[in-house]
This record gives sequence, structure tokens and C-alpha cells, in this order.
Amino acid sequence: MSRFVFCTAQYDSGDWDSAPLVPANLIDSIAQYTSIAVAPSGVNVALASDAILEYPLVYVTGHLPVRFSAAERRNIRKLADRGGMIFVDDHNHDIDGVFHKTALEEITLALGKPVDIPNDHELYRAFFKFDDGPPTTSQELNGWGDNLVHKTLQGVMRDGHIALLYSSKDYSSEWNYHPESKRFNAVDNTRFGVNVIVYALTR
Amino acid sequence: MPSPVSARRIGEWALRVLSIALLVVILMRAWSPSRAIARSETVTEGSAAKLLPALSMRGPARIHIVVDSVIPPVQRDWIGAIGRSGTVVTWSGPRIAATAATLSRIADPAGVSELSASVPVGSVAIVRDHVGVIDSVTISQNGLRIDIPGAGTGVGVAAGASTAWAAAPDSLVFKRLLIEGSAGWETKFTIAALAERGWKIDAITHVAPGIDVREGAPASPDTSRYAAIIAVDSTAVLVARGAASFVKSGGGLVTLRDASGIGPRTDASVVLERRADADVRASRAGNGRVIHVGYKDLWRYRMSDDDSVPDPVAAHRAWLARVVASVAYAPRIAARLDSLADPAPFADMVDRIGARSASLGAESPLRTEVPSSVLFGVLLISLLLELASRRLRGAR
Amino acid sequence: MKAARRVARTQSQLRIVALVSALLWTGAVLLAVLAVELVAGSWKRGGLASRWDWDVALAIAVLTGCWVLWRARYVLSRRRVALWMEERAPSLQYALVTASDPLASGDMTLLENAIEGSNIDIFVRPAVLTPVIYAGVALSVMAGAFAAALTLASGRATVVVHDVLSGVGVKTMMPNRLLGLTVRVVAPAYAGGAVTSLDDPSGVTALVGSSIALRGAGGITGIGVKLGTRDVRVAGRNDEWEATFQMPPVATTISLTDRSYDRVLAVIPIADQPPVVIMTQPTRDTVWRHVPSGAIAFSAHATDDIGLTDGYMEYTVTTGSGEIFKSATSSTGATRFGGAKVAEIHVSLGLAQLHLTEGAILSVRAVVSDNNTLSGPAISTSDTRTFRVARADEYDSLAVEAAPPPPTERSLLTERILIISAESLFRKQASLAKLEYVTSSGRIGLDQADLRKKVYGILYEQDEAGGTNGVEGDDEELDPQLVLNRDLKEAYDAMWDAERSLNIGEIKIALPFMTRAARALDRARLADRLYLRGRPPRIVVNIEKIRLTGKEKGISNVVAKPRARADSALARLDGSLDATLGLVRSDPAHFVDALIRLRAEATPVNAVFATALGDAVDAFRAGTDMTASLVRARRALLGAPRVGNPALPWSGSWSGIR
Repeated sequence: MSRFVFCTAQYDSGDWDSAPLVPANLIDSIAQYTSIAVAPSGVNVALASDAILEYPLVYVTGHLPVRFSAAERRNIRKLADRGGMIFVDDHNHDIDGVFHKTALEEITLALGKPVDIPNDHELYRAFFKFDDGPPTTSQELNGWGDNLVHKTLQGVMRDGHIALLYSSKDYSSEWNYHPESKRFNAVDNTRFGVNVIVYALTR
Repeated sequence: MPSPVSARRIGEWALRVLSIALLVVILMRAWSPSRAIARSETVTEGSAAKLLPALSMRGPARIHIVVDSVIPPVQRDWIGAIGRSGTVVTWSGPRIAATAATLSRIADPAGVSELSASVPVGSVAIVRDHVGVIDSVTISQNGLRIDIPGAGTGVGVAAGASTAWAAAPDSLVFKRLLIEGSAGWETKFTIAALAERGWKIDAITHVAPGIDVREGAPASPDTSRYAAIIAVDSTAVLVARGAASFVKSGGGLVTLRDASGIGPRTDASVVLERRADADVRASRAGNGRVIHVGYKDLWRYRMSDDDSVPDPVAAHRAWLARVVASVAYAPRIAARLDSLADPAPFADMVDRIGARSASLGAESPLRTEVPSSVLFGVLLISLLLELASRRLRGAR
Repeated sequence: MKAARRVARTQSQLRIVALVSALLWTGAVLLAVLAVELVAGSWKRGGLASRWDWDVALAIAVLTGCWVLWRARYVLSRRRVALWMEERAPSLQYALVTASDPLASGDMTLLENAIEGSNIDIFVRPAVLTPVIYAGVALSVMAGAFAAALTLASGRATVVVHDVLSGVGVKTMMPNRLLGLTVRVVAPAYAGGAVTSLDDPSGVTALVGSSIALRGAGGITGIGVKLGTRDVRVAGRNDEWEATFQMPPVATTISLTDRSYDRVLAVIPIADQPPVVIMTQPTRDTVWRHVPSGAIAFSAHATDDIGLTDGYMEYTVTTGSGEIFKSATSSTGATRFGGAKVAEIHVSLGLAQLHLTEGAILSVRAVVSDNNTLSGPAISTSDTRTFRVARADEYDSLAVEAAPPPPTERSLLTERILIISAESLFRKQASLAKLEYVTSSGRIGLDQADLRKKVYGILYEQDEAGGTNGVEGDDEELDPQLVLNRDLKEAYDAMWDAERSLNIGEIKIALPFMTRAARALDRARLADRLYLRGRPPRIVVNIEKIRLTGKEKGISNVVAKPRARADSALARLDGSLDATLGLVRSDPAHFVDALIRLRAEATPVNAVFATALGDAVDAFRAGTDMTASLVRARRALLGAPRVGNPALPWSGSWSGIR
């Protein structure tokens, strides 16, 4: 049986590898909560290369300005048009941060303007139930970065499903720890990551 | 040696005998016209309308028709009737190709019809419908099989001078599909492709023990609800439980690579296609059909970046749709009778008129017929000569 | 006045009259023939006669003129002129002829007196002018006929009559004022304002924002014009009606009505394309080992379909580390292009002014805008070039070595040099001895072997040092490490094949492998760019150990929304096409209008289909066969038929993967 491989997109500009522990942590969560066949470690694949199309769920993060090349933009369109999903998380989480500003510009250029995803969207019921929409991160609660608690996520829709999910909530910081440390958490904060992956695999 | 006068009298007698003989022949022809007449006619679609009434009136003993294009069914019936009324009818037409065509709707909601045609090897078949030419194919094997998108009306296949018109296909009743598998790209994109193609889907995606994602209202396989059931992998327990009886009662089963153990046992299978070390096999079980797809990761077809496939998403959809169409149970609703249909013109001519003669020369030669009007003219001349001869020699 | 002089004077007058009347008759006949041609419809719309029409009319007119002159040939003879005068004044009883005869002898006084007393001019003068009057009348009548034919042909006369009569409450039949339309398209000012005219088109295709004027003959009473669902004001002008509107951004139709008549035109917009800008220098990203000084030259090449307004280089300097970053964006090298379609930006950016520090990142891209003043200028950007200053304490082998080309890049350049060398040697093959040729080829083969070993080294080192991305013990899965490096592996394999052929002097066979190796290296270079922080830590999760050990449970029986059928817009168009084709028999009068509406509806969904429908409309209106266009339209909509294998013993339309 073909296994799900978590893919981090390696884009030319910016620090695409700013949250290197997120893949392993989410893989760990997928293994703990679901029976989904999953590869034990993730891959980093150049967003501009054709190989990226072998990974219909792609994770994009970073702190620095994001400027996609033409090839990267083209592959993002292909992924979206063919039923894949790109999960973009702002690791910078700063007021008018460069990642947020530039990433939204680039997303708009590649796929169109993202819209707010309602908090009763099926993304929040894909595996675990999140009645209030996207879970708040500790970065938000601590008042770091932009000092805001973002009420919704944004997304670009294609044929009724989320083709690109954009988060300003800095899940990359929230989930960027060794999976072994998860046992110290009272509540697993990667549960929403499970929802994102299950949503991508089933919708 | 007879004198000139007596020779003249002999000649006069000869003329009298000739006149009487001609009179007898003309009377006999008038009495039974079908005898002693044989004709050879070249018939085209246009000329048949004029010629057939004339032939019907005269009722010749024998007709040989040289056909240069397929004549309409009504005229074929007419010629057949002439044959059955005592006239020996033979025909030849070297340009008439033995074509036949049939059109059937396949179980694909995208509205594809399959044209199956018998066309002689080496000829060029031109497929057309009421709008115009659809395609042309050089026939290298025995016959032609072609999928025509959106063919809701009759389709014609022309080869040489004959065109076979297949009647409009029957309509189908599309039931739902049941798809089951574990959460993963294969299950997701199988459901997506078939739903995008137009199938109504009931799906179960297993995410964790006791946790499924359901689409539609999945139920046990039953031909009253499902056209086909699809097991993506070995987790498809609902499909596995009811697959044998479902297929036996006429339903279709599709098993993908990781679900090979699911479904009824079948003895013989047909390899539909093979690539590298994997293939697609079809088999029958009871009234239903089963296809096993041995290819790994079909979803990669949808995501491929192969320049030879301009739209991989559509190609993936179409391929999976054909897999399902090959087994799906879809009751038919007969189409209205199509007055233009002429699915096998050559066979119909053979049936109604008889087998095609190799050529005119192979038959026994036809006797040449002298028209009665000519005989009547000769009769008048003969009588005039006899009268003139008598008067000129002074006799009355 | 003597008789001879009198005759001579009349002869001169008659000569002039003959000439003038010949000219007048020529003109009259010319107008008459042209009027007949107009009414017969042999002229093009708009009143322009073809060369053939003119030639025929002129020939007939000139013949007529000659005939008139021939008829007046008597004016050449003085005696015959005298007789002509006698004919007008019979009371002279040949006195004039006799007196004016130069051969006559004797005293002519009596005759001269008789002529003087006869008051001959009263009879002669009107007769002299009569042919001119007749010819003038004929010319006037024919000029009137020509004018009538001209208005009749354009339909204006009947329209004018209708308008006048309807003004006084009289109902009359009137021809369709929607036929013979002219369309004037004025492109937007920013696109140059070019003017084009179309005669009786089935649709208008123009740049968004173009001014479009539809004109037809006759008054405006009863004329209705709708653009989509919006009414368009109709104005009267010089015995014409005119409707003016701007090209909308989406395809639609313009519906025209004239009492019981109606007509539809497709309105197809052409969108102004955004500019395209490519950073031509520098061609790649760079990591600086130390804080740089000096300046960097940047160049960009920009193009636009209409015209470019301005452009500049935008640069962002980002500093910081960990979770705290600051960035500042600025621009330099602003350039005005003045509407040029192709332009360049050249900028030299001084690095000192940027105050770069260790860890700083400089991102530079070119930004250009076009001169669309209607919907606002479209702004395009080039790919971004990123420059990073390495930190002194960081370990990032690829990054710090990036000032010289990285190993893969160097291999690529060398592979290109090898290809050039091999091609050069291959061209000289005829002039070299076989041994020399093979030896030279072998030398290239040795270089190729060196390169291959370097590539192997890169592969080997990555496997040794990295493996961070690998999925161990997974036979079924495609090894992600190989996914990353498979281009390098392909290059390596191709180099092997090239090397073998080069060693035996088979350059022709080696070259394709060398080219493949170079391309694979190029791809590998792209895939292996920029590891800012070195390799991420490798964590392999023990899936089997932790499977389903989570303390929390998800919700059961999640219901997903059903997916929609794709291409439903195409299916809808297919249905519409079938219905439209059905009109050919049931309602042929509205067949073309329905096709035009379908074309406008289809333009945003399937441009090829829409174009084919436009061709079908044109073919139908021109009275030619539209089958080919309709077949093309259907193929664009439904795809081509698929030919299957007739020998396959399985029905259900199995035709296999293509």
C-alpha cells in the first residue's frame, strides 16, 4: 500500500526549513491517532521541481520574504488544480511581517486572493472536532509577534475543497519540537495538524 | 431453275410466313410478357427510383443489377419483391464494401457511446453523424471500435460506396458507485475522479479504527442501488462482504492493486492491457463482471507531468471511468426507432436480393432482347414488300 | 449677311452642339448604367463600384457618345448644313443651298435678298439648341435615377419615407434596418486609439474599454439596442442611427431590435495582458562569506502587449535571527518606458548603503507596470534574486562555498565544455587520421570520467553526511533521497554511457548521453539550491511502536460533502450546441443568433470552441459549408474520439491508457 509522505517545500527565497521538527511531529501524531499508512520521515522537495507533484500535500513555512519563481508558481497552480493541497504557515507571526505580506502577495498571484475559512468548515471536523475553529497557539496567547489571536484561517478554494490553506497562527513554532516531548503535553497541540492531513487525504 | 416470276412468288410466300411468324411472336409476348426477356441494368441510388417501376411493370425473366452505391432499404425491398414475383434477380457491385455498424451507450456518465463496426481491412472508414465528419480511420485490423463522446444520435460508417448507419443508442439508467478504502491518495483521487466524471458516489474512507469519512449513504452492495463497487485496498470490508453476491446478480466489481483478494473466484480472465509487470484483467462471475487493476499508485497518473498527456486530471478520470464502464451494471431504456438506421446494408442486400455475383461475366450470358416495337416494324415492312411485289407483277 | 457666311456660322454652331450633346449623352448613359448596376446589386456595400462595373459603364457611355457624333457627321459638310437649314425653313425653296454653293455662278442678289427677307434664324436657332436640351434633360434624369438607385441600394430612401409617413400616422412596410451594419472600433487611448471599421460583422472583438459604434441606415424610431441586459442609448445622425458603447471585460452579446426584426452580435473582449519581466542579471542567488562592499549590477528585460509605463528594482533587506526579523523594502532605478513594448532596466545597487550585517538577506526583484489607464496598470514582478551574508558561526558547507560555483554547477559547466569539445572534434573527423581522432576522443572520455567521479562524490557525500531525508527500510516507497538526487543519478548514468562511447571514438553516440547528463545536472542544480541552515535534523519516527497509542480519539463517522461533477460548464455548452443545431431545421431564422449567443457564452469557458463557433457563423453567413467549423467546435468541447482495439474480447469500451 502506498504510504503518505509528509513533504516540506523547498522554495528558492527565504528560510523554507525554519521548522525542521514539524514533519516528524505530525508524522508521529498521524501514527498515534490514525491507521493511515505514513512514511516514518518526511521529505524536502524543491517546489520548482517536477517531483513536488508526487506529494499532493505540501507544507510551506518560513520567516523571511517569500518570492516564488515562475516554476514554483506553476507547480503551486498544478497542485491546486489537480486536487492537492498546500499548507502555508507564517512562522514569522509578526505585525505586517515580511513572510505574511509577501506570501499573501505570492499566493494571490499564483492562485487568487485567499478568503477566510469559516470556523464551521469541515476542516475543523475532519478528525478531531474544533468547535471554535483553528486552535489558538501559545505564540498568540503569549502576545508574541503581532499580538493578535487570529480568529480564522484563510484559504483558496478549488471545486469546493481547500486547495491552499494559509495560517497566520504560527503553527510552525507550535509544532516544532521533538515528538518524544509530546508526552509532556497535557493536551496534544498537534491535533489540528492531524485534521489538516486527514482533510487533505480525504477531501 | 425457277423462272423470275416463280422466284418472286416464293419470295412473297416467304414474306407472308415471316409476317405471320412475327405476328405470332408479338402476340405471344403480349400474352406472357415475362418470358423471353432478360435485362442488364446499372442502378444508382438516383436511377433506381425511375427504373424500378418500369421493371415492375414489364416483369422481365431475368435482371442483373450493377450497383454503384448502396441503395436504400425500400428499394432493396422492391428489388427483392421483383425477385420473388418470378424474375431471376442477380446483382453485382464491386465498390460495395461489407460494412456494418452498431452504436451502444457505455456506462459512463460523460455520455460516451461505443461504435463497433465491421469494415474491410485496408479501407478507410469515415465516421460521421448528423453534424458532419467525426473521424476517419484506416482499418488495419478486423473492424473498428471507437468511443464517440456525446453521440446521442445515429452514427454512420462509410467505406467505399457503402455507408452503414447505426441507430441512436439506448439510454442507460445510472446507479451509484460504492468506493471503499483507507485514507490515502489512491482512495481520495479514485473518489474524486469518478465523481468529477459524473458518477454519484457512496464512499467510505477508513481513517482509524471506528473512524471513517463517509460520502453519500454507503450501504451493502446491491444492484438496486449500485452499478459497481470499488475496493481500493484490503480495508474495504463492506465491499468484500457483499461482493460475491453483488457480482453474481449482475453488478460490477473493481479491485485495485491492494485489494486483490476481494471478490468472487473466477476461472478465466481476459488481460485488457499490460504494462511492465502489471496488468488489468477482466473476468465474469455469474451475471456480473470483475476487473482487477494491477497497477500501483494510479493517482500518480493524475499528478504526472508528462508532456504527452496534456490534461492528466481528465486522462485519469477517463481511464478510471473506462475501467468502471467495463463492468458497471446499467439497465437500458430502448431508444426510439430510428427511421434512418441502416446498420448492415451489405448483409441486408444479400438477405433480400441474394448473394453478390462475382461479376456479370461469371453468370450465363444474358440473351439479347429485341424490342416488340422493332418486331412490329419488321412485320409492317414485310407486309408492304409482299403487297408491292404482288401489285407490281399485276396480281391483286 | 451673305448666305455663305450664314451657313458657315450655323455649321460652327452645329459642330459645338454635336460635341456638347455627345458629352452630355455620354454622361447620361454612364449614370444610367451605373444606376442599373447599383439596383442589380453588383456593387459592394458602401457604394464602391468595382473596376469591372466602371469599365462596363464607361464602355457603353463612350460608344453612345461616338454614336451621337456619328449621327451628327453632316456638320462636316457645308452643303449638308445648308440643306439642314433649308429643311427648317422650307419657304426658302433651296435659295440658301444655291446661294451658298461655291460653284454657283451668276448674280445671286435676288437669292440673297430672299434669304435676308425670310428671317431664317427664327427657325434655325431653336433647332440648333434642341439636341443639347434633349441631352441635358437626359443627363438630369439619369443623375436623378442614379441618386435614387444609390439611396435605394442603401435602403435609406425607404427608411426616410417610412419615417415621414409614420410621423403623420401612416403605417408602411419598411425594410430591416439591422442589415448592412457598420461597426467602428476605437481602441483605448492608452493602446494608441487605432480605428478599425467592420462591415456587417457577426461579432466584434476588441480590447477591453474600446469605444464601439454600431451604425445602420434610417431613423432611430423603433431601434432598440441591448448590451447583455443593459440598454444602450441610440442616437440619430445624418440619416443614420448609431449606438455607442464600451467593450465590457466579459464576453456578451449585443441584441438589436427593429420592430419585428432582431439581430444578435457577439461582443468578445480581448484582455490587456500584464507585462512580463525577467531578471537577466544576476542569473542566480548567492551567499556571501563576508559582509560585501562595492555594488551589484542588476538588469531586467520587460515586455508588454500594449506598452510599458515604468519599472524599477525593488529590494528588501531582512535582518534578524531566531523568531525576530526586521525587514525594509525600498526601490531604485526607476525608469520610464513611455509606452514601449520592450524595455530594459539597468541598475547598479551600492551595497554600502544597505548596511548589511551577518545573516542579512537581500532580496531583489524587478517590478514593471503597463500603461493601462482604464482598469489600472497591471504590475508584474520578476523572479527574486536572494543574497545572504553568512554568519561567522554557522556551518553550512554549500552556503559558504557558494561564492565559487557549487560542485554541481561546476560539473555542469565542465560538461558543457566537454560537449563543445566533442562537437568540435566530431566536425573535424573527416580531416583527422582515425588514430588521432580516436585518441582525442579518448582524452575527452578521460575528462568525462573525472567529471563522473566528481558527481559520484557528490552523491556519495550526500548519502554519507545526509540521509536526513531518507526513509529507511522502505522497499515499497520511492526513496526520498533518490527523489532529490535522481537527476544527479541520471547525469551519472548518462556520463557512464558517454564515457564508454568516447573511449572508442564514437562521438556521435556519446553526444546525446552528454547532452542528457548536462540537462540532468541542470535540473539537479535547481533541486539542490540554498540550504540556509545546513541540513535539517533527521528524525525517523518509529511508526510501528507508536501506532494508535494516542490518548485522544477523533470523531467517528465524519460526513464529507459530495464532490461536484467536473466540466459541468462544458456539458452545459454541449447541450446548448445540440439545441442550437436543432434550430437549423426548426427555426433557421434564429439559428445564427443562437450560435452567436453560444459563442459569447462559451468564450470565457472554452476559447477554442468559441472561435470555432465564430468561424461557423461566418461560414453560414457567407453561404459556405460550416461543417468543418462545427466539427472543430465539437472536438474542442468533447475531445476526439478514441479508437479502441476491435479484437479485444471484452465490451464496455476498453481502449486502454494512452
